[in-house]
Amino acid sequence: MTEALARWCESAVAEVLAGSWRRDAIPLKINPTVLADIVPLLFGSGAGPSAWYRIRHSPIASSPLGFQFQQAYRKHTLEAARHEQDIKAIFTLLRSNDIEPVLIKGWSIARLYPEKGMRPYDDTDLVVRREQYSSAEIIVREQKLTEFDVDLHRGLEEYGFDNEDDFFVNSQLVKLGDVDVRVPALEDSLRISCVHFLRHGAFRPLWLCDVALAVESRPADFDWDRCLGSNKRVADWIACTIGLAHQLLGARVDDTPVAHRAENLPRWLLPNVLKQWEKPFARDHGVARHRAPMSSYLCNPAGLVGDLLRRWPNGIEATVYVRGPFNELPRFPFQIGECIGRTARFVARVPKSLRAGDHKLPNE
Amino acid sequence: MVKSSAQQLPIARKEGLLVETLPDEVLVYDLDRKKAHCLNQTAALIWQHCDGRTSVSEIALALSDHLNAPIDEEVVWYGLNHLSKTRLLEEEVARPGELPSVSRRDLIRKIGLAVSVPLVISVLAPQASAANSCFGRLCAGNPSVCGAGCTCNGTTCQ
Repeated sequence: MTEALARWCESAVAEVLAGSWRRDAIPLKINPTVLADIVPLLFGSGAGPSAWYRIRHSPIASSPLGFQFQQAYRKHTLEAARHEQDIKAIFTLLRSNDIEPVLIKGWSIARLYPEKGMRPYDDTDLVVRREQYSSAEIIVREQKLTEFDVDLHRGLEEYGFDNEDDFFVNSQLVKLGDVDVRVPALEDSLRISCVHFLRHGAFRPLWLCDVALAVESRPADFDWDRCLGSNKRVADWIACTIGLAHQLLGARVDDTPVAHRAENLPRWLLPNVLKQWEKPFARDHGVARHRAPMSSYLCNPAGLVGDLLRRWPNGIEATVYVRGPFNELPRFPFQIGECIGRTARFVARVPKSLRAGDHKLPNE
Repeated sequence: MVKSSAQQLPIARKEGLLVETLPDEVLVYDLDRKKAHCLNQTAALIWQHCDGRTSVSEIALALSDHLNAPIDEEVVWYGLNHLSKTRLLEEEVARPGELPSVSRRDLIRKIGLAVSVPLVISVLAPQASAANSCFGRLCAGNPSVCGAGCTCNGTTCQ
């Protein structure tokens, strides 16, 4: 893909997704040729149903191209129903063992979209109290009730929460059929969406729709102080993510305390996000892009350089990894810092693994 | 065993199905066979009336009422055939011997545009890798616009 074509596709993806989370989303006026060209980007990133939501009242809807989007929408609607079965089953099971989980991401956000299938997700992310983690882990591992994966989280350090107990206390119950599902407070949910988007290098456009939706659908008593938290750096990350949702997808932020920051993002940030949207597929990010575990190169270094290059972090994930600021400075030092940090973690774990006689050496 | 047409009171399958009702169609996921289906409005109405107490002629009458258009038994049999093939009925149904089998085209000709022909289609979402970026591109009869692996159907690439 040429540089110019890549830029053009990224902006087309943003155009398709702009406002797609709204009940009154404006029907998309897009040249079918443009839409056809970004089909792989939309389907590969789970944005097919959102695109259908915007084209279904346009002439494209009845074309073969429109049919593809409608099929994606139907598929994800049914998949969402299957996920809901899973969620009900796992909540019932854990509760019967006196464990009260909180469901983050996935359904907790998807439920806010106008229609069930608009926000595809792969698994059920549950946070449990640290002291209950081991029991929950065994229950989840041994159960056969769920069709999809259940991803159990111990603690919320990765999302920069000051007080985990507070997170659990402020969580809320939401009806899912005949089961009450515990989800984070809306403030915490927005915070998680923002930090999650950044931690994964901002590669998935739909995650930014989540942010836009959470901001626009917040209640009048939304507690911004709670959402932004006491750590100024994390608060700025959140403000910048909301700014990205504003600048790329047209999220309405003028009545928020982050409105000024949303208009004044670091110059490197937006192009960096658009660059990620050239490849919004999970296979090109995180550990999925690694060819082999680092430990395998200790015995056989062939291919090490290539795999190190694949591990080179983008500026966004590197900054968040080293807990750096979103300022105007170049990202290169943060990227170097991220690599050093990961290498140090890897090296620190090697002797421990060897001592323990663990044949599965750590990956990094 | 297939019952004679006079005995046939079709029953919709309920077990092992996940059903999502949308404004214009009904989506069904078969948990046993891991298959997803989409029933258009007419097929969905036929399916909903398959309660084991309603005969085909009664289903036709109910559909006429609901859709505000005359519905022939032929249409119901066509729908039942589709539902049966996709295992959405408890028991197989067989159209009466005296009724000749009709194609979708025949049915459209017969019932006109007032009512959709009952359809049950498989829901197979395209994967990103399989999604051809030429799909739907306007070609206006020029196949070179579509590129390798695609053909121009006169208007758009496929």
